[in-house]
Amino acid sequence: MTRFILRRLFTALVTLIISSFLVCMLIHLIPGDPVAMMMAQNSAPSPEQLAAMRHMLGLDLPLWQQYFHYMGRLLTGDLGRSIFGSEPVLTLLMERLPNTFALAFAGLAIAVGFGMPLGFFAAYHRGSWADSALMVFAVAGVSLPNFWLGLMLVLLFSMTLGWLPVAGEDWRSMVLPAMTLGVTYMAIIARMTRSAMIEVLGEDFIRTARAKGLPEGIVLFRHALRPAMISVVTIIGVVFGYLMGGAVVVENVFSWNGLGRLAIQAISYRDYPLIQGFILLFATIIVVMSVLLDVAYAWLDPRISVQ
Amino acid sequence: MSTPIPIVADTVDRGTGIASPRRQLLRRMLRSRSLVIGGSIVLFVVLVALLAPIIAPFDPDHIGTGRRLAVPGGKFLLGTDEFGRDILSRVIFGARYTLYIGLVAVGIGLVFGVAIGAAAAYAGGWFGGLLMRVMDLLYTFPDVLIALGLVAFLGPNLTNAMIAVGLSAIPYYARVTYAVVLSERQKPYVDAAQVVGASHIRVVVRHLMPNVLPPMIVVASLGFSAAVLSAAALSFLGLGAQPPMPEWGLMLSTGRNYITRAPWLVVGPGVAIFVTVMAFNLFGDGVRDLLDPRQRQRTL
Repeated sequence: MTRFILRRLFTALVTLIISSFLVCMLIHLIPGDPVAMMMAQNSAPSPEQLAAMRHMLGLDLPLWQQYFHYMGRLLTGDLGRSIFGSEPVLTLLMERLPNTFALAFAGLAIAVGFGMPLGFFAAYHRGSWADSALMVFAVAGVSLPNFWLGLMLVLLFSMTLGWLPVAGEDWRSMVLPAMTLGVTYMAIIARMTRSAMIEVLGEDFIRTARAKGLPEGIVLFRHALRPAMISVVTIIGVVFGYLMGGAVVVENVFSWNGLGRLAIQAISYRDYPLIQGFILLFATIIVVMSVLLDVAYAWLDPRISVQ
Repeated sequence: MSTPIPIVADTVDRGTGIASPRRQLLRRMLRSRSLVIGGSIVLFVVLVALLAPIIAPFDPDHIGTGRRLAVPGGKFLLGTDEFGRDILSRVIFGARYTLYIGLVAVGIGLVFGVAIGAAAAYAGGWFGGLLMRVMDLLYTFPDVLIALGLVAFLGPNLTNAMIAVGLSAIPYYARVTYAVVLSERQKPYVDAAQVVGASHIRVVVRHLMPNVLPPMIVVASLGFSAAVLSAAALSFLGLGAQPPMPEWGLMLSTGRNYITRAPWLVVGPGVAIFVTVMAFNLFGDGVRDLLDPRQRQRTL
């Protein structure tokens, strides 16, 4: 198990190094001179100002040294300064991170809390009308644009019924964005749970358990639940990453003060250091999350760490 | 000729030549509900896009076709927007943008993804392994985020959004191609072709690709729906299509400013995205069931 965790941490580290390299090189996608583009918001920067900025970003170095310059700064926790407001990028990101996390976890809770039981139910009543209805719902769920679903929920719950606020900072204002995020991914979780459960219910040990005359409840919850959960846990990791991506969009529907809104503002101001910091932070979160889930997976299914 | 045993009629039919394989396939296709429903809607959207100038009641870009923010009904079935443009006509013309965006994005993703996946699977060894590790890595990142990052640096406009959405899907196509080619590669016909002296390129293009094609139709169809969703999201965020294009995501983005006074602005384009994406998902699912009935039993 320890060896498994160490090996997993090593691949995570490699992943982060590659990600930071890609993020560092993103700046060269900017058409034309990146520094001139960045400072275009200032009225006519002088050549000295341009040179100073170029030096600060390490863009005056040869290409292969630029990464080491960037990496060196990263290791000291320096993600650069926002071109607008000149605050440290890390501070700006950390201010918004809790809001995005709150939203993403609330969305995940809704997705898993409703998706898994629905999937179990559908698998057990396979072929029934409820099962078919659920599968229609699952296809519809993955096809729903989350930004549109958000607008429709606002129309229904805020404007027509007047139950919930459109925007704000308290928990009530989180209900609609969390629901928006949750519903889309609930469909995926329900579908995965269903197929995992159907597979497990076809296994020999379930037939044995039933043949022994065990009550159906015990067969389902003692014997079938755990192996079915294992495959769902692996999916939750991927889902969480996509949920964070969805949060970026949904935050902008509800004016939720998280990283997604910050990112869109940064893009419209061409605040490149802030955008780079945002991508890197997201990459780190996703990598850390996947390590944690892999460890959870290995703990649930000891066969994994041996392989 | 003996009477077929009713329960296994399907398998017996095949042997006795009662129905040709082509007709059997057709029959199976028509029996697949998701394929028929999804395929019909896809066809409908394609027709709407092609015939847009004929079927649209008004010029989608003409300002002041009607009153500003006119309620749906009468001359304007879906109402008018903040410039008095007919929303129905804009939704109809929007189908062109959506299909165009989807085709370009899927094209970019497929070309690079298939090349990378096939090269990795065919070459194998450390090179193939490394290539796929990088693809796996990129795959863990949500495609919307990759697209967002690329657009941020390339500059926000529709062309860059299409490129970004296409590039962000490369890992997905590469992974599927890799898996498919890897399993095909081990089949005897590949060895046979090599023994006869076919070059590597010839084996890949002439022998492997035709067998890899059917699963790729599934992948492209599902990828199409994902691309349409991502591109619409980018346009909604102001990073894709720019005004006054009648693009669905952009229409939702401007429409939401009027959501209190004119909620119909955010209904039509949203339904259009939803239905189109769902159609491609159903179509992809349907083709997959057709290719692999065993898979259907496991997942559906």
